[in-house]
Amino acid sequence: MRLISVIATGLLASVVLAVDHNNVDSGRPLRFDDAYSIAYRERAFETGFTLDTFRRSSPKYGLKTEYKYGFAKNQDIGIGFEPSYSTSNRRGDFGNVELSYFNGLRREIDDQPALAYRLDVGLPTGTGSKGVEVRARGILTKTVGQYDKIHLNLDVMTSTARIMDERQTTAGITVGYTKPLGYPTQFDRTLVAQFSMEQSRDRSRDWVGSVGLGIRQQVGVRSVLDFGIESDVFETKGRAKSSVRFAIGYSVGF
Amino acid sequence: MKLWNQFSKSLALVAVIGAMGMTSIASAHEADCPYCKLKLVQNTKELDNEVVVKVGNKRIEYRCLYCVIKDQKRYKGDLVVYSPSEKVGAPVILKRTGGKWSAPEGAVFLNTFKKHKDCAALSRAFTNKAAFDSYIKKNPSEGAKALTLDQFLAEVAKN
Amino acid sequence: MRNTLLLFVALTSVTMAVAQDHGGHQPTRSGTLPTMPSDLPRWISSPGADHLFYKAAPYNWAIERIPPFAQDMYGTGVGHAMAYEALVTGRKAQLETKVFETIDRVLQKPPRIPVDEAALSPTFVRKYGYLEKVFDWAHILHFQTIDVLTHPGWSDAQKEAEIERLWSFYSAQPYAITGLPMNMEYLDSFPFSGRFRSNYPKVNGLFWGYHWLQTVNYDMLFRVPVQDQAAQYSVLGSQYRTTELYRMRDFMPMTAEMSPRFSKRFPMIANAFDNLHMLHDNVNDILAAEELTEKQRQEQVKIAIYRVLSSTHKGHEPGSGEDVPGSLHDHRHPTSTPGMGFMKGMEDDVMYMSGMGWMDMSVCAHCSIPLPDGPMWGATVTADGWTMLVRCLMCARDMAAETPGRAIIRAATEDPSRILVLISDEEGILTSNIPGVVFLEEFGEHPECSAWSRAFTSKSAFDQFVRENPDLAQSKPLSLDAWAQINRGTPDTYRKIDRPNPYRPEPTTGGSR
Repeated sequence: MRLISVIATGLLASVVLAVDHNNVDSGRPLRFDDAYSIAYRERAFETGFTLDTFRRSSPKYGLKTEYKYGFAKNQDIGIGFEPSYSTSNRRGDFGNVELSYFNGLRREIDDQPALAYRLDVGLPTGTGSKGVEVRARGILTKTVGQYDKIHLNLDVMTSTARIMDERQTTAGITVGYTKPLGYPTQFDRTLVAQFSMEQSRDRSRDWVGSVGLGIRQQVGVRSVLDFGIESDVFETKGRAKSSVRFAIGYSVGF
Repeated sequence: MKLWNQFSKSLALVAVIGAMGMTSIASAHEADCPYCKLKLVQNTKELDNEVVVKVGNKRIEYRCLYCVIKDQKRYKGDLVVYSPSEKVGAPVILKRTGGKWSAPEGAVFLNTFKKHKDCAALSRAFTNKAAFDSYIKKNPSEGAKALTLDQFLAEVAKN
Repeated sequence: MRNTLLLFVALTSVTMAVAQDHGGHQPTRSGTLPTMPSDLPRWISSPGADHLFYKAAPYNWAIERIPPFAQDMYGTGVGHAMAYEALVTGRKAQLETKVFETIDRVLQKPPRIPVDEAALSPTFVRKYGYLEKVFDWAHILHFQTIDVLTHPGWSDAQKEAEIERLWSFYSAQPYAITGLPMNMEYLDSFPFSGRFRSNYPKVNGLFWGYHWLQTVNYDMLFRVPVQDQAAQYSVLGSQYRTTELYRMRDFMPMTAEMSPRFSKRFPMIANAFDNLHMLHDNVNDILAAEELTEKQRQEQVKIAIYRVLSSTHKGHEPGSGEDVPGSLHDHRHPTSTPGMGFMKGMEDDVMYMSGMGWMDMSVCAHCSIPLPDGPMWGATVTADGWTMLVRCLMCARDMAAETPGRAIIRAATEDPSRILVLISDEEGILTSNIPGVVFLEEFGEHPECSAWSRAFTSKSAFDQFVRENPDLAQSKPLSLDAWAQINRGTPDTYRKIDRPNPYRPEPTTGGSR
């Protein structure tokens, strides 16, 4: 079964931004990025366990592992792996190898938002994968109120493989929201939330809307634990799938 | 020992130090009273002013007797207080032993200052009532009364 | 001998009194705003966030070996960020009340992890993001130097070599602050200078309080075995939280005042920290200056950064600037203290130190005899918020004994790799990091005190020293307890420098009871 939620979050690796609970990167635990790269010369390692549940099929377990390097100011590159195990067919899958590039174009200055873009390339190393997946994401981050931020992510995804009944190019939009918790006496936790609309690869379906909520908790001077939950809430064509995705992860910078 | 070179240099430096606008009287390092934070008042030829508290291995200077009593809680051990008297070089020695204060027989105390800038002059010990009267004659102070140690401690505790 | 001394003093007094009349240049507070330099670095206009990572190394975050210290240091990231945010969001009126209380609460109950300052001051960072780059990079240097010193398993030589490499790593970035000494009076001489500390003394007190912590810790760590570092922080941490955060100072604490040994070894780092802290003060003052427009504030912050950047002073040398006193390129320093720029009223080695008054940094703070040359010498005493160099252990002990409160004595032994750390409680009872420490104290003339007042790591080391110095043949080794009970009072060689406080000429009269 094609996994709708995986379209949005799965094939392309998330990146690790600076390992700080305030800095948000896709997949840890939700799907949006903020507009800041990891620091120049920073190396970051991130791993996370995901559980996707589905109404009409067995759950799928994933283990994402990624390595990022800030090779220049405001720019980082990364490589990620996402092996998975599906209980329905009791088979493991090495998954695609994902390469990423992130470029922070500008920080927030006065009332102007921070801007960035990232490119991700998914190599077809997974079972049954065909063609190369490419995603281009434009990112905007802007502070609202005193400490809260919104993060707008606009995605275009395309595949070199032409598959019947599948769109070759899809689009997506995610609005993320981050709110530090505990200010002004505690400084180690951030609430993350998102609303996302993704165009389905499946031509029989159209746009899928989902919501997500999570926490990023600093657990050490350079490590963060995250936990998140996402669920599809509607489709513009057909019924919502009501799949739920849990993610728990750990990131460390060094 | 190879000390002569070092000593020669030291000698020269002492000379320089002496020349740089410093007082020629050896005295305690510039310090503030641990309690009232005002500068300590140095002894003069006519009158001692330095109140010294000996506790353990410390010898701490205070500006006046009142400041000592007020600050006594910081010390757990027994205290010996060398309180300047009417006579240069002959302090009234108070003791706090096991938490209980004692003073030489006949000692009386003055405690009439309103502002701490006056505390060194107006919170003092005397060996006897006559010395107290003589001091007050030279340094009139409103409401001056010769206090026993207990009265003095009670008065300080009130403030 | 004493007569000879006194005669020599008397003879030289006249000459020196004349010399005093030719005091250094005294910059006065200028009435006009500094103007934008033509060679402002281009990175200041760069829109990128430009985050830089610290040097990858095994010692990173070794500060966590002393948890209370680490947490207090993490707390320091909060103060300026909160105050800056208040200043740029129209909450100046709350600075001395609500904002002070908030910062104070955090400093008293500090976070257990580092705090992202930019996250606490988003409005400020949106306006002055270029400044954040300078601060962040210097703060990384702060932390990494501490990490090196708290890292176990490395020798002092390895640590010092790594700190040199860290300095090169830091200096390679355009945001680096100069390691040259700068004239502090000049840096504090602009129309807005002093505004923040005058208008917001309580919050400024907190800032200078944690600048005290950021500077006093280096001598706590430098060449001190890692196992002997944490015990010292029980004294310093308590002093920080109970006293230093609330102390009303005349001027910000200087690194060489608080950590003279470290500053002597790494003057460029001491200078960079002082210049950094002065930049903080400049920015505070600019933001507090009501008469400045937003555009002027932006300009003045950029100029303040420019003044202290390493790139601005390229080609200049420490000690230079006699021909341009009290100006941007006045890089003179006290002869004995290359890790400190010239201060208000300073004459060579004589400077005014908050809490101590006028001090001559080239002499023992207790006996006024010159300190020997070289990077390591007798001892230091840290007490009541100050750290002073003394010639010998006797001076250290007696100075600590006459100072209220707990104290730390750090002293050389016969073994260069074993620094003696004595911690005094409120009543002067000493504990030692070297269990079998033995003391020599064969009382003689003070100018020779560093020869006859010493510490040894063992009785055998004491015996060997006595054998090598026949004039000490009669000396008996003293245990810590026996030695600690000796008190020789204030030495007759001690000379107090009696001048008015240059920052606050009027004497205080004190409050009521």
